[in-house]
Amino acid sequence: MTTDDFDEAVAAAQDGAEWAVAVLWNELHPRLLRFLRGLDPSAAEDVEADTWLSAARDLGTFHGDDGQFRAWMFTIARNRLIDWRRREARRRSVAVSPEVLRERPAPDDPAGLALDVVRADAAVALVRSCLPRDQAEVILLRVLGGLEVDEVAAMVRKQPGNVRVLQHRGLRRLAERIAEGAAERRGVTR
Amino acid sequence: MTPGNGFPSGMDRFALDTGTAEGLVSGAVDVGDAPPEYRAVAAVLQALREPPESWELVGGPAVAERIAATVVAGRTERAATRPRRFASRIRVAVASLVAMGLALSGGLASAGALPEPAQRVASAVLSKVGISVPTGDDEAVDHRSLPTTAVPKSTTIASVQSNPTAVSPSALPPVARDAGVTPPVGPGEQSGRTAPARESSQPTSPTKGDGPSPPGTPPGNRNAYGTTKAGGSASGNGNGNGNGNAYAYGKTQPSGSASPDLSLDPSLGPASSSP
Repeated sequence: MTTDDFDEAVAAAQDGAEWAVAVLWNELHPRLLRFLRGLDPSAAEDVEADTWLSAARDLGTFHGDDGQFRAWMFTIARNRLIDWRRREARRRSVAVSPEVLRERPAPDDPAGLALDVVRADAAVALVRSCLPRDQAEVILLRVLGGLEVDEVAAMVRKQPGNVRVLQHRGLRRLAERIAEGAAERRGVTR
Repeated sequence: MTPGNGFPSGMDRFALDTGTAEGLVSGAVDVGDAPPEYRAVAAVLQALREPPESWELVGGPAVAERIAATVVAGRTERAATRPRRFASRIRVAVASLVAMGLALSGGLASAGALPEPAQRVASAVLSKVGISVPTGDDEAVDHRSLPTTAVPKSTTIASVQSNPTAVSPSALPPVARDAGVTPPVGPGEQSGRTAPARESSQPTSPTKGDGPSPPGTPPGNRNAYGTTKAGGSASGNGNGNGNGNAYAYGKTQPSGSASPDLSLDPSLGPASSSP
């Protein structure tokens, strides 16, 4: 989708055109869902629905291009996830669905996932299992949201240098974990 | 000798430069172009960017319909609330202006700085709620007494001698004497300086003016307790005159009559006519 098409879709969606909303949803829904699953799979579906409702209420006030719209949507998603976590923190217990447990990879076999990566959800699960949350968040925002370092820094309220450090450490940690898992699969010890 | 991983000891096999890291996350570096240790990472990141699968877009039309309805509802709601917000802002602005006006006029009224009619009205209104503010009449007296102190010397003398009641302090209401400015009463006033009412209203002992000054007493001390401060001392021989004026003023004020001694006292002549 070109930038002009995206801008046209945003303008039409602000007028309530259903086709334009469908275009935006098809473009951003998979990315938002992957991003949320990479951070909290148990809340991804609900938080993503809240994200679209919030965006729909405030869509008339948005001004900007396609990149800013993506940043806007991922910011809403991140804020809704923070709200969800706060609500969950006040509860005494959290119910975990079997699908979530089945989706979570074994921490001792990240290489198996990496070697068999053919699906995006498996990649999301690998990132989530190998990286701390702040590193995973930065990498997912950059990859799925297509956001620049400055945009991510503004979103997570860190300095751009800190974002680069988190990104670098995340990539390195991901490579190390995959290499460790591959070595264990081959039965080779260092 | 190298360790089991094939890299020489001390070499960081996962070293990653900034450009490569940026290329990996932005998608500029493909799996084949990535460093060997990061090819799996590049594959993971590429998988994250894969287009959505069909199951990920299930229910899209229904969701889009609900979202579009929410957009329209939100726009309608904003359009409806905009005039209400505008009206509420107008109300807040008007209330703020009224409050500021009341505070300002109340402050001016309590300071007695309003024009006379407004001051009278404010005093009457505020007195009904138990707040005492100066009336416009008080201010009028004060204003009336001010120009008198600036009258030239000869005019004052003439006024005093020809019609003592015109400028005599006894002609002014007691409030004026307590208001901070004292009308001229004698030669000391003719130099253009007026003693404060606080000093002039203090009861002065007649014996102070009658008795001679103690030897060695500086002239300034004698001037301090009289109603006129500088006139007598400026003439060099007016210390006694100043005290005498104080005595005359103190004596005549309570009675409310003119002070005949001011112009008739022969001892005042030289002092009052001295430059």
